Amino acid sequence: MEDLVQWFTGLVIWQYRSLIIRGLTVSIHVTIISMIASLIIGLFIAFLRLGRSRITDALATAYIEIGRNTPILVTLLWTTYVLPPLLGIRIPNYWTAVIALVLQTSGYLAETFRSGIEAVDKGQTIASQALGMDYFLMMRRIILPQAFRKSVPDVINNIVVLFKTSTLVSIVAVPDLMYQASRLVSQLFKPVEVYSSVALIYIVIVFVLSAFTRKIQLRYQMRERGETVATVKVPRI
Amino acid sequence: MNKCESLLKIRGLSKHYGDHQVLNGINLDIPYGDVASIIGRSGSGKSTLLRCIQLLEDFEFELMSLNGKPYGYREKNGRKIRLKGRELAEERSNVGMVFQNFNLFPHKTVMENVIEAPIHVKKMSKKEAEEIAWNLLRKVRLEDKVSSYPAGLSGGQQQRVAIARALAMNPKVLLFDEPTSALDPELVKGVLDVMAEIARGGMTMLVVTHEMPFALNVSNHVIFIDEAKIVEEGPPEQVIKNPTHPETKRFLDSIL
Repeated sequence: MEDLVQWFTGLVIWQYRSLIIRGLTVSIHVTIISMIASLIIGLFIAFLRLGRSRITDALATAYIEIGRNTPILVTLLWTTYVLPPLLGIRIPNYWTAVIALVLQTSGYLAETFRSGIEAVDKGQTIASQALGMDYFLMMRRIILPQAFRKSVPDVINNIVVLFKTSTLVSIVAVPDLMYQASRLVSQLFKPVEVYSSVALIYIVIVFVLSAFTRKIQLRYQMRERGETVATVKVPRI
Repeated sequence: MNKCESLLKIRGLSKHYGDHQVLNGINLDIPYGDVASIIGRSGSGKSTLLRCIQLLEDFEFELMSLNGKPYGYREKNGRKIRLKGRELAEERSNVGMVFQNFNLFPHKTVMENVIEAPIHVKKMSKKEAEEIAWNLLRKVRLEDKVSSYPAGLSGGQQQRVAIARALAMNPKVLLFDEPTSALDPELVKGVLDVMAEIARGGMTMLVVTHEMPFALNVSNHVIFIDEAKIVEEGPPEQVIKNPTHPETKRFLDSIL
């Protein structure tokens, strides 16, 4: 029975490979676009929370809580079927799906960045100020680079989660891998082969991403422990 | 002390945290080339005084002048307006500080630590900054560690990098906040030797320290602070060897 499944699985992947690749491509760029938007918005929200104004802090917190606590399916259906009529405009489902993914992910990233920034040793701020750096210079050159290094494992984790969550966009007819899979099943009546193949593809991709995460984490840990020396050439004067 | 010779002049500096008075009416004259040791118990306000001089804290004062000019504020219609934002940042670069915990930038190499501020604050070219950095790192005997990251250095080495980093900005006054307190005993001398060399080079220094040999032999001016006030002040032979004030005597007895 096992051999049969593998045989049919191979057959399905190979025969309909263009469909599967098209679907996978959509899954990937939905993930990438949502991730980039989430990173930017997440950083912005983090700064709102770190700022002095209590109002912006409260607004940022509300955004984060709503984004994180609402089930992604609910958010997705809301952005696709409620938001456009609310605003009185038509929004393609591709973008309502991206908005939904961003609403959730940016909330998590905002917290990641905020705690990353707060985790940077206070001595760094004092030393930067003593050297004459103003706030923006200090943030750009000293604090954020360190905060980002601390955030890398979390950020990559969010990418993996985002990729897995992106499977839901098939529900609002965005032609990602899951959507193509459903179409194939309704055409071929071969759910075992199709869903097995697709599951395998997701498992392989997530596995590769996770291995990548661990490698990056290790490299940043090594740097902090001083076991590496810069390979940049410094001219001897 | 002759007024015209004061590099740093402070009158009436006070600071409180809520109910707690940390500094109470501090008056200070630091001549050019002065090497002053600030001694006193923990919590007496020594570190806070340094942070105020580095303009890292808010405080009240009657007069603050550096090199004869108002320091940290502007005079307008007889009122004192504290500097803010970029002006404040620029003013801070006139004074340098070395910290107990070094506070080196961990994500940058030794060389990058030293050239960072000269390039981005003083807008020097990379070449200029590196030349200055090389000279300083040679002076503190760390020229073979320029490509290392702070985590790969001993505490004494890190502190010497911190000293080079502060000197790279060519400050008028260099402040040291317990520079050797966090070091293993065998590393202390290396840092103190570097500090002595800088002192010999004519740098005006204010050093909060518990290292009495340094206060006695290297500094020419000792300031004893107790309970938010300067209790006694003068040459080390007087303050440490022959203190006049009973509080000074009590403090020195407790540590010597």
